[in-house]
Amino acid sequence: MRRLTRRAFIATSGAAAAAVWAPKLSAATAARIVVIGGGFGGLSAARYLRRHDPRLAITVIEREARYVTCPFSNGVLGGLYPLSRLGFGYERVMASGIDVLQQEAVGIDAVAKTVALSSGRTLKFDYLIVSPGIDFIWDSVQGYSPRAAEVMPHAWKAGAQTELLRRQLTAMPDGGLVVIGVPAMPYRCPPGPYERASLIAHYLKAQKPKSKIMILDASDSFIKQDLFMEAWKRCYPGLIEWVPASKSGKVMSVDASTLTVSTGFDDYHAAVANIIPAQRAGAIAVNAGLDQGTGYCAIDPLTFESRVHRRIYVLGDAAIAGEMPKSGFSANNQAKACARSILADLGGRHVAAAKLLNICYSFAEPDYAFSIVDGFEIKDGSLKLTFEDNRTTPLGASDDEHKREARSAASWYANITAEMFG
Amino acid sequence: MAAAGDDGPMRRRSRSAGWIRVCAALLVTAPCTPVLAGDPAPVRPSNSLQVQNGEALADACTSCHGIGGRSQGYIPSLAGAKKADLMRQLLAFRAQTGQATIMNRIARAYSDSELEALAGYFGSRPAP
Repeated sequence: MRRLTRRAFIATSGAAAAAVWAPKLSAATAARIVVIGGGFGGLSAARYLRRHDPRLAITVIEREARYVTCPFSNGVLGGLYPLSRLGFGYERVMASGIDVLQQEAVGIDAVAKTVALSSGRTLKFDYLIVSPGIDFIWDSVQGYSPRAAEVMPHAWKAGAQTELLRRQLTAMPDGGLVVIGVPAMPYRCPPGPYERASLIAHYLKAQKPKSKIMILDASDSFIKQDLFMEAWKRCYPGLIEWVPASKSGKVMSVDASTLTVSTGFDDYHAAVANIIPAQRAGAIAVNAGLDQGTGYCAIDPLTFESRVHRRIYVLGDAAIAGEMPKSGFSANNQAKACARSILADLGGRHVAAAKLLNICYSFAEPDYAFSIVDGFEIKDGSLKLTFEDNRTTPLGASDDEHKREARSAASWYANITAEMFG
Repeated sequence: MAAAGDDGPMRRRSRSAGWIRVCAALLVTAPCTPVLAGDPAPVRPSNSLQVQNGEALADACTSCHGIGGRSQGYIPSLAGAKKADLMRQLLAFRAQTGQATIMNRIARAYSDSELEALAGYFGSRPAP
């Protein structure tokens, strides 16, 4: 039966989108799917494959025993709920017949088709899905490092860093300055820093009203900017100041020993400094050369197959997905398109292009959210927006509309996490 | 697979167009018959290569509306709704005449036949 698999491989080794007429795999064939990363990309793909083909042998490699979602983690900083509300175990994933190994993937051999694990074990794969999320470029800010992050947390991977930043906020005196340093694009969750400022402001307004938040930004504009500005004016007048790159907002260096954040022109002495460094694809993807030295991985927008290696796929934040932003929603939609293309490949079928969406809610207050809605399709070989106009909640929306968006966001979170972990 | 079963004629049309496309792509060198017979993802007869299969299209919807259209919380479940009702609502969203939170923005990404395939898919799902 393995011979059949191999024949299918040979038959499909043409262009990624080409139709093929390989024989269908027999019922007894178990193609081996290995997934690196048990988050929005990897786990969504694994669950989709399992739901659509119970014969597949699927293994997910995930470093953490419990996954903590980045979506909704700004609410923890605002004191809306504890971090434990955002944690998920893999029990039901395993019960669905997927192997989950709590290991770190340390190397990919694209020729031998193996993944090396931190335990010393190697896993053989027929298809490999790489969805490792991001890693930080520590030296993008002079003086920043994993050690400095213990004093000036990035909190850009949800977990211990989120709790550290929350503890610092609760410990800081009233009247203190909270600095949020925002890196240049591209980075994970483009509206995230501004939602974070909003929900920290929600906490400060109630508990420490003499405090101030300063957003030091490496960009001159940001997504949903008008909606954030409208909300800040309405909910937090005078509390949040945004300094764009053109007004020397870009963080150049930090000194963790004095909590000083410098833009090269101004030094800010912070009570709490949240420094978000620049990012690239997770180390496993970079070390395997999937990023071709660029920091992120080029993919076929139809299948999410790597442009470097056949039958190795890259999803989510690590991928260059045209105009799709780096978000959990994007990764989840990409995962289904990728899984569908793998199922088609296994069945010797042509795969048609998926319609992909990204829907992203941001909270200004617990009952005040707004959104951007993106559709994507392949144009000129890349994922482009289906429409550019009227993608966001309109300005001047009513309290009721903002409340309905907040309730929709919570419902979205329940449904997408159920798709992954339920 | 109940997918786009309701909209038979439309689906058959697009499938045969897909066949022609795919065969042409292969310069008709391959035996162009058995495997594609059950192809659940026929190709639209336009050059945009978009999926018209209801189940495949619904992949994007379930991220909010839940697997099979069974939702938890505020976002409505779609499973078990009448296809005609869903279609009427989707068309109203797209025409910007329906009461919506975000669906009036999303619906613009879909053609008539895509909306029809989606309404057919969710209408065929068992109610929660």
